[in-house]
Amino acid sequence: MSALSEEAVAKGREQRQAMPLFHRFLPRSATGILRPRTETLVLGALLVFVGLLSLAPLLRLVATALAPAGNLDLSRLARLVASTRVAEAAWNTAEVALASTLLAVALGTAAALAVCLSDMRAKTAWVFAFILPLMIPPQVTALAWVQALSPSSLVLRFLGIELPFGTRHPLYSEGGIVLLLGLYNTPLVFLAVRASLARLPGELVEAARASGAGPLFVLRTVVLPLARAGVFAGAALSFVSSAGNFGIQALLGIPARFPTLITLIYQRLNALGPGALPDMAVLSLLLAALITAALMLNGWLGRRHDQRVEGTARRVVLPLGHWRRPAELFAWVFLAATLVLPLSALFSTSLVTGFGQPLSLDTLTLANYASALYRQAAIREAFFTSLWISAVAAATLMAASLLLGYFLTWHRSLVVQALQITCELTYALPGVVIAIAAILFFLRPLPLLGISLYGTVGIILAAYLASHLAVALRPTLSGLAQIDRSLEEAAQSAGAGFLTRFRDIIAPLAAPSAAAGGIIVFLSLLNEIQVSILLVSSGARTIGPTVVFLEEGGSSTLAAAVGCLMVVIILALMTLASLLSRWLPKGVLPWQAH
Amino acid sequence: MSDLRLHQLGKDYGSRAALEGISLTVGSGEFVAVLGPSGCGKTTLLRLIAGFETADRGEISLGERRVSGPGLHVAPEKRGVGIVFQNYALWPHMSVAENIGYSLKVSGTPATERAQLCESALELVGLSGFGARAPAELSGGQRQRVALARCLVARPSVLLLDEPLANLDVHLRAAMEAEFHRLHRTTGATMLYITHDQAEAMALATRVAVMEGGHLMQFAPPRTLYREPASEMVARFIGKGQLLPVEAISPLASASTSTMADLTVLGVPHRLRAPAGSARAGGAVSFHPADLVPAAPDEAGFAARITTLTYRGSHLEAEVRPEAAPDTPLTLHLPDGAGHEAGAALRLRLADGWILPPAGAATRAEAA
Repeated sequence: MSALSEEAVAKGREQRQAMPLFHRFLPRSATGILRPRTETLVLGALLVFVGLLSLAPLLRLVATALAPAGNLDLSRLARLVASTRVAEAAWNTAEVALASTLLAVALGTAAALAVCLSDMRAKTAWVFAFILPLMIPPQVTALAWVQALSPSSLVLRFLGIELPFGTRHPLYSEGGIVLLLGLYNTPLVFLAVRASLARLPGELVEAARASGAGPLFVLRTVVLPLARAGVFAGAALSFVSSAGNFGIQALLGIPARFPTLITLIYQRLNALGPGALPDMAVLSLLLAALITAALMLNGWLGRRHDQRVEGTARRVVLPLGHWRRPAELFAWVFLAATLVLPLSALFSTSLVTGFGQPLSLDTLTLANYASALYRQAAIREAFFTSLWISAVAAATLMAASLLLGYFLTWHRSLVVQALQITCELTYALPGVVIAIAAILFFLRPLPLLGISLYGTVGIILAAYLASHLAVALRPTLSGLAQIDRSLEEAAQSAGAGFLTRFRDIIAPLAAPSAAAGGIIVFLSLLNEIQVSILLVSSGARTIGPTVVFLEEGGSSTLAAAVGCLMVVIILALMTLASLLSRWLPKGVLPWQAH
Repeated sequence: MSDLRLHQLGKDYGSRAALEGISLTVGSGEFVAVLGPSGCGKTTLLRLIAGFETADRGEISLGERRVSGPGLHVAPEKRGVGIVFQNYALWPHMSVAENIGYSLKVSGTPATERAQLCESALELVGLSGFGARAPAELSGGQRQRVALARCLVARPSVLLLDEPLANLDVHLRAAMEAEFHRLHRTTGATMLYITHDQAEAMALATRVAVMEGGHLMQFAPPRTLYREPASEMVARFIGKGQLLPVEAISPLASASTSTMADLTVLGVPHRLRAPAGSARAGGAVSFHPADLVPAAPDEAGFAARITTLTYRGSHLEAEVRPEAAPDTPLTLHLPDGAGHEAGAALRLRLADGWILPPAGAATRAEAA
């Protein structure tokens, strides 16, 4: 090495000694001169990305709720908690979330046991249909159920059941909300329990059977205790999802005059406008606190008697014997009642011009579909907005999750972990909370540009990016974990700098997992409602909330047609993703059997 | 090809020192093996040299260029160090030729020149015509060769090899050992070879660095390690070495660093090899199973009893317990068919042995 660079080294050292504190944060470049490395710059960009989209809005929310004038001021909180309406809504939220979680855990666990351990036939098809309700947007599910069980339901009439006219709709009640939330979250529990059953070492079951235990006894004494981690994980997911499920709570709860925290937020914000934001920030925090408390209780219960199992996972079968046929029959009847019944009601409603009209050759019409796709520009535009905004979010989040995943997998530091916790938190919080935070943060005009994102597509996209980074991150992380560290190190010792390594080695190897993450983000954003319901405006409308607006406006048949279109699009995309699954890592598409 | 110099290198994981005070110099074109049991710090040492870990103390220089020192850490991609990973780390989404040509592509070598260099690198490792294959289509030995070619093509200042034979079966190992020998001769590359297998280290290296517990125990040619271990650890580690206490060591006057010394082993007078120095009241002798032999009728010997006999084909391996030191089992080789039986008594003596230098002298020997 030349004398010149020796000199540079010496100079660099002097500089560092002059700035002892600063240099600790900046990795040193090749010659030792103070210069931030590319890695540092990329990490900085990620920090800004997550910081601006997720952390800053949430902090703004907390500040607005608890310290509006800069110092701690709990008077607003005290006033709201003391109000009977808020207390009632909070209590109702806790009650329906808990009750529906119990229902989902019972159904989901039973289904997972049947699929993983029994010798039931045609599992692949059944699992696909069983997971499907999870992919259907909840507002569409709610609409379908409302129409299926309404007094003028075509499907019920077809089945020969007639509810007397004038009776209150049976689903417009707390029980109805619990039932639909429970059914909606059953696949979530199913997936969590199935994952923990898939890790169960077969020897443990075989050893129990060799000790003389019958199938039911083995189930109770060996399988269920070892699957409890999955059951609790599923319960946590279900509770969070129920408490924040706007579609079902709004479509059933508002007509039933059964307030929950998120319907209360929605109604007050609609009635009072941005002036209600500080109150809504407090309600959002209440909801977040409720969920946090439930998660902590769940975590505490789940950790007790937690068992780690060692050994290789192997599929074991506990034969159903002569119960097989009845069990299969029950499984398919369950699907018919929970999937076919509501969807066929939705479909038949979409084919008539007025709700309650009998479906016959005379009344059959495609007018609703024509309206949705062609005549009503607002609906058509909402479809397109949802399509491109979901595509942009999915692509952005794929790239961000690859970069963030890289740091999480190989360069874990406190900063990187804080980033992960932030995006997990933004994902776990109900969409309505994220939306309130986004409004509070983005309401003021952006610096330099001088325009406000509020009321534009921009704020929806920003909230989507914040709330769904964790969705994209999960499969990407599991893909990165499969890549041997030495593959990157080999490129590094071959002289490749960070961006070159990332482009040539890491991105191609992790691409399938990131793509899987992107697909799931796209699918869940396309019909998204929880976040966008508070963010849409006449100028920026997505398709998810449109169903609710149509239903609220009395256009049930048009809402049904839009709902059917959404289901068709989801089914098409799921089929497409299944066709691509050969190139995707195993187990990332939730609806596929293992 | 430049030399590699480490000076007082240290690395901590949490509060535990994974490496401490490692100083050694590898000459240009030398083949050095780093040998030690698992957890001795040899992989940490390799990762420090490659730049994947940052040293907490000490310095690393490659040739004239300091790459690691207080406040200085040159990124791995800027070090020009080649590394062959234990699992080869071939990029599965690239062909063999793309793998080999990658460092040239990064450095901006034109495509035609790159192709030429790749082909000659493949030729060097005996894989001509394999360029278009995918790594998954190759056998373990072939992957190893591709990994080597990928490093050699970049003309690294130092080639680091991390247990490169650990994942190969026994037959391939012998072939690859010969291959490493040949490549080292033809390329003249400076190589640092990490292994836990002492047979590999002794067969390949011009010098071996023995490590334990994050410390460098001895750095010497294989023959010196075997015949003149610097410490108890090296003596026991290399070639099934054994130790016995000795008394009344009086070295004969000598101008060289090693000499002969008169001493007693278990009360029996012996004349054995020893480092030059002054007389000592006691110490330890290191020797190998073949050095322990039955005493001839006219020779002095110590009494021992055979506890077990194991048939080893060319010889019987006997475990014996000296009567003067029944808690120190010793191993020796006895000719098969000589009528030895378990439980029988024997008179034994040391035909050869090396008196260990006094403790503390070893650290001085390392620095040399």
